[in-house]
Amino acid sequence: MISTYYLQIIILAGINIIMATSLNLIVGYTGQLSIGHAAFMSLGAYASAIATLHLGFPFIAALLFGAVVAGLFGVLVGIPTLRLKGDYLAIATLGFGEIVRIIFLNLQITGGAVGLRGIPKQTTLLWVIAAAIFTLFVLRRILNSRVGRALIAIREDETAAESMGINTMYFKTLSFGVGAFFAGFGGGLFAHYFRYIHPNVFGFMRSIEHLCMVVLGGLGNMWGAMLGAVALTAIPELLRAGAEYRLLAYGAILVLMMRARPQGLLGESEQTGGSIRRKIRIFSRGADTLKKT
Amino acid sequence: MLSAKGNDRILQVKEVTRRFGGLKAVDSVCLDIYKKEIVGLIGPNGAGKTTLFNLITGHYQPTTGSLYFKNEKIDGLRPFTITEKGIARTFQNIRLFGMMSVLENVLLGMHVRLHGGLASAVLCLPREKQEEQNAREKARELLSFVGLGNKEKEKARNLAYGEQRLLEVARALAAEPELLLLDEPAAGMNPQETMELMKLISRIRDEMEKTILLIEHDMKVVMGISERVAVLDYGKKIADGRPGEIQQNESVIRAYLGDSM
Repeated sequence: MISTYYLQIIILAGINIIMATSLNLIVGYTGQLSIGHAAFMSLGAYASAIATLHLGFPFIAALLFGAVVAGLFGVLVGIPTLRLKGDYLAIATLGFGEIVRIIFLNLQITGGAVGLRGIPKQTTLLWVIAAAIFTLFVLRRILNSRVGRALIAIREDETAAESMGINTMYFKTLSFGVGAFFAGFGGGLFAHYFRYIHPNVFGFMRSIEHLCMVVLGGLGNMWGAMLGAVALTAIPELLRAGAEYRLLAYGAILVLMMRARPQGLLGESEQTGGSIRRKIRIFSRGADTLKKT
Repeated sequence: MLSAKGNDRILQVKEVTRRFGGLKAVDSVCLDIYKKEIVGLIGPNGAGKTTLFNLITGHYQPTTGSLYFKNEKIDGLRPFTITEKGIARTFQNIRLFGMMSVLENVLLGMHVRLHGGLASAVLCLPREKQEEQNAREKARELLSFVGLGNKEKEKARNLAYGEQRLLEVARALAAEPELLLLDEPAAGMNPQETMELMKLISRIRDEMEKTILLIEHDMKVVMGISERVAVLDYGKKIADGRPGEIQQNESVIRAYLGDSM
């Protein structure tokens, strides 16, 4: 059948679809720039791995446990940070991501700098497909409801949204919590596929990668986020022949893409998320300096 | 005459002052509004009209003084709570949800009257479906009431300017307010559209039994439909009375035309 190599790429793409679509809820639909999605993924990964290793949870229960833990942290982190706007929120979520990573590097139960090994391999292709469909189904339902309308209204005009009687803090936190829940869900699948997790796997660069998937695919478009996730999983593999030059080419493709189609592959207009894209642009300048230091 | 209607008072602005640094944008203003009245709020640019609106709807908090809606204190409450209590507004600089459809904009106006939450959405509860269906029906009724019946699928930002103003009115009405605040609803409308807007405002009061407070620069509109007009100048209320009285009032004339007259 499919070789292990291709199977691994397909599974990774499936997990990335979950990550990108859940981040899209926060960034593309609610308009809140979060650069800590990998931190929620790691919370889900570690929580579910510990649940299977130490608490003897069955796989599905461990996955849900990881997702709930990540979701709870999403709400807890969201309550203070979502009062911030734009770049400030981005920096706060980035800081949160680093805090989580460093805590996991130093805790006993997570294996510290050695990482957590020996997680049973339970994630199969079927599981990933089912999980991705479940995620998309839930997100679709939310977006087509009164809740989803409120989220998009917050993105479009927060002052007007509040005038409509929308408790903006509540709905922003809700969006953050749901997004984090599915990030944790994806993290659980990740941990039970690769069987070994290390805090540095869920660092700043992975959060950026998730953000790239959403922006490339088209902010505020679920099919776009899926396409972005698949594309950014496949491109580095396709470029593997280029050896060390592949990351260079990967970067060039991203830059050209943003030049030719700034609204993303499936984004419908320059207007969607225009302000979010501006925030990302301003922020990326700051991130460059951060990487250099 | 007004005191006899004491029980009918819907909004009481009591000695409200709002400072921005050294500037008193609104200066100890008192204003009472009674059920089913149409009250005009006028004054030169920068007189504090929109600031007063922002104070009533909770976007600003008064520096001193207090506000009562149906005898309940509302200063200090967040805008979304005030909307829930029954005050809705439109904005001077149109603030529609541009990327959303006309119908969705009205549905958002209904936000406080609907109940669907996260769980009911995810679980596809029949209650939620029913509520959405009813809401859509009601939104369509409101759209045809303001004359946008055939535009429900268009994006709000693609509407003509005058239509956007009407959509703001429909969206505010969707919150089922008892008191409706209109901030320059006729701005940018042509005479034909303005005539229709005046008829619409009267119908909102007569058929929907709403109380209306409106800011407007077009004197034909204000004097034509208001039963009472309040005048602000440099943050202070300088007059309050029937349109005929206001037109004769010397301090009002001075505020608009200057001392040299």
